Amino acid sequence: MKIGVLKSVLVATTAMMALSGAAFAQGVREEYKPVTEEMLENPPAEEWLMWRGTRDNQGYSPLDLINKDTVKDLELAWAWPMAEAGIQETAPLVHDGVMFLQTNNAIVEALDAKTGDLIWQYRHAMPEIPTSWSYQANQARRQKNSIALYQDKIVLTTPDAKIVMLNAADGKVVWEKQVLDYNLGYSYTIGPLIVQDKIISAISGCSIAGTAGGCFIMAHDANTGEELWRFNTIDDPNNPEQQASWGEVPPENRWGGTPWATGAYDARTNTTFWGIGMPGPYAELIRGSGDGSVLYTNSTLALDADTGELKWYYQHLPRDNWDLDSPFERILVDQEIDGEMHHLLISVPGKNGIAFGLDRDTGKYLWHKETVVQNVVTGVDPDGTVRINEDLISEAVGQEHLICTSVSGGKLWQAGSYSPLTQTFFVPLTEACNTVAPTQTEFTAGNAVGAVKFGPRVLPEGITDAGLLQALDINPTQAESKWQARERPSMTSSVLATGGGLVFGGDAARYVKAWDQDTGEVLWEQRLNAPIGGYPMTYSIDGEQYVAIPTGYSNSASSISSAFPEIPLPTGTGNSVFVYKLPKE
Amino acid sequence: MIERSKGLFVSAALSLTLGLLGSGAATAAGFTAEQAEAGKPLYESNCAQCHGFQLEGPDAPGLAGRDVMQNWYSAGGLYDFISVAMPPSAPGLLGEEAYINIVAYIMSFNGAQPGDTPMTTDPELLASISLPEETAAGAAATPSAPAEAATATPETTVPQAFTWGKQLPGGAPPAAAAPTAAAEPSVPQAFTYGKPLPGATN
Repeated sequence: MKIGVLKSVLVATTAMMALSGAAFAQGVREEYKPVTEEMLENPPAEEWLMWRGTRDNQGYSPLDLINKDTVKDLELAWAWPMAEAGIQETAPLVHDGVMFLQTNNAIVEALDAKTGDLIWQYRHAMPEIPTSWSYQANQARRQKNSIALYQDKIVLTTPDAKIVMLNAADGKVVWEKQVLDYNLGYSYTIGPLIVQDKIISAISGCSIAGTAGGCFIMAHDANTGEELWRFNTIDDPNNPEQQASWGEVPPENRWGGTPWATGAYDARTNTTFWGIGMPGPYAELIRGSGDGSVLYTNSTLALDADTGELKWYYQHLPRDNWDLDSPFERILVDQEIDGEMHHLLISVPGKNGIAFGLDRDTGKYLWHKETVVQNVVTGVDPDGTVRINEDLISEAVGQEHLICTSVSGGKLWQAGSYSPLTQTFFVPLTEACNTVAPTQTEFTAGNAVGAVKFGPRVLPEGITDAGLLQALDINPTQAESKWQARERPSMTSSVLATGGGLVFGGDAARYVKAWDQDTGEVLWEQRLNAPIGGYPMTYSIDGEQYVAIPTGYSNSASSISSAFPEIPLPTGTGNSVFVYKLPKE
Repeated sequence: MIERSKGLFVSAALSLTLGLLGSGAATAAGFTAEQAEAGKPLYESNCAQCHGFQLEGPDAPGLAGRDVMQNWYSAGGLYDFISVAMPPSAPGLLGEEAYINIVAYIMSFNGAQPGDTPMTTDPELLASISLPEETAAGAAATPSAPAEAATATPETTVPQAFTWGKQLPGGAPPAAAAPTAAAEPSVPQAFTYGKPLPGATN
């Protein structure tokens, strides 16, 4: 009894010390400058205000203090361990001297971007779900890539399908809204896009059994949380062609169509562009959709930002049978050629790694270019119709085919970057194949409806390097390979192109690298604590340029690590951010 | 009816225990109790960090449950995958015997009963061991079930594929594929379990 009392006194003392320590180290960012619509449309070069830096999703910074000549001198400024284990896909943001760092399980930290001191932390309280909902539980620990900045607020989308508005100054909740029912399987895995006082967000979890019939891109009023519009990616009553593309399958037996990469926005036409994922179940034999193209899966959607009305769609992979999602970053590029301005949308939208160029005002197909080894697309007609290899469609339960790329890509969430400096698109990719065979599965709550058996990821025949950084010369009529940087380990981070002529990114072997945009030569590399991950970004404070490199546990490392067994992955997650700058003169 | 169910719970729980201890029934199976027993520490030191000690995840996909078993299809499906790709820090490097024992442990955790014939790496043998059939006795018979029963599940009936319950080429006959009743709890329950009881009134 006495010991018990003593213990609680000790505990209380420790808690008080912790609290007073916290009050000193944490707190409030005074006089935080609001992020305005004008800033979102034209971000200051010194800052990184959103997922890919700008609303065209280019992932490019004009900063050039760190360049081909100086990059060799980079020194560590500070490092920070992230607040949570799990898969690391963090996109740090910087505004007004504050780095906002968001990790999976909906934790946000505000750090002094110059010193690495913690200002505040927000941990979202999540509801408990039954242990048997293992897919859904795993979802909360995976692919959580960004938050958004709006005025003096942080917009957080959570694994339990809420939008939470935080005060940027102190991390306190201003309001929160339950957007969809997480008990059905809905969850946010990506951050929103902010357009003219609207939060445009897309839900994930649409391959979880309970979500049948609806997967949504939505707009909410950023001040009130009121829903303004929603677009269902697998059930569009306004388009008979969309309905017919699922054959006899009614909406209540349709899954998938998850838009799990944040969309782009073109103010010129007030249009927002989103990529859509695969259909569920994965195989048409189980899905019941026959030879239907199952719209709008694996498509690009152009939506009116005010109304959510569909302006056009383009399907990059019809009739998917292999979980080769095509939701990845859509990048908006303007190129003036002979006095004429071309408004392009470029992307490697899907896991099969094929690059596409579209006219973003009409959705017209312009070109495509293969990158990694793939065997599912046999060609694209001049009118843009994508032809698939029907020999790879299973006609019986258990019938197996070797599919390239694999379900892990190819291309995955790691975003490419377009450099207006060199008119080059840099894309991190993985060479991989796997077997796919349909299974007949009884769906259970909280779990996915894929209903296929995947084999292990293996290298394509004749290939020994899993990793590929592909540089594509882009113009309105074609994409040409400018250079390829191949390496044994897989690429595990997004890439960042800069005005210094560099591309930053990294791999499963824990190397962060800076490549020369023109030649692909590695001009700088450092070996860190874990696979390079998330979204490398750059910013500038008081005339000094910083480069932030996230590291940590990566599915793009673990899924294909058997291809490079001589480079063992760490078993600790190590989720961290490393910030570099040049030495002071 | 209630009485009979109770009897079933007990026998399911007992046979799992006995199975793991090494005296399982000599029926179907595909692995021996010794293999499952040897697989437990191997699983716990090489897999549990990400896949969970109750095979629940969450840092990697869960390995327990009916749909997981249906998706891996056969012991061969699971073995072919993990013996190449797992664990990520030492992919395919644990040795054939270790992978076989881990498959046996995952099967037994999912309710499959051991038998007299050991599992081997013979591809035909592995392909013939059906995970959904062997584990049909139950996700119910797993140690995670008590926690499960304690947590009220908000929604357990979910929509099925458009083709569910239909005969597909290569698929099981509709009767076998038809939805089954929810799994039963695996441990003995209070005498009043399942009966309406008066609520607390204030």
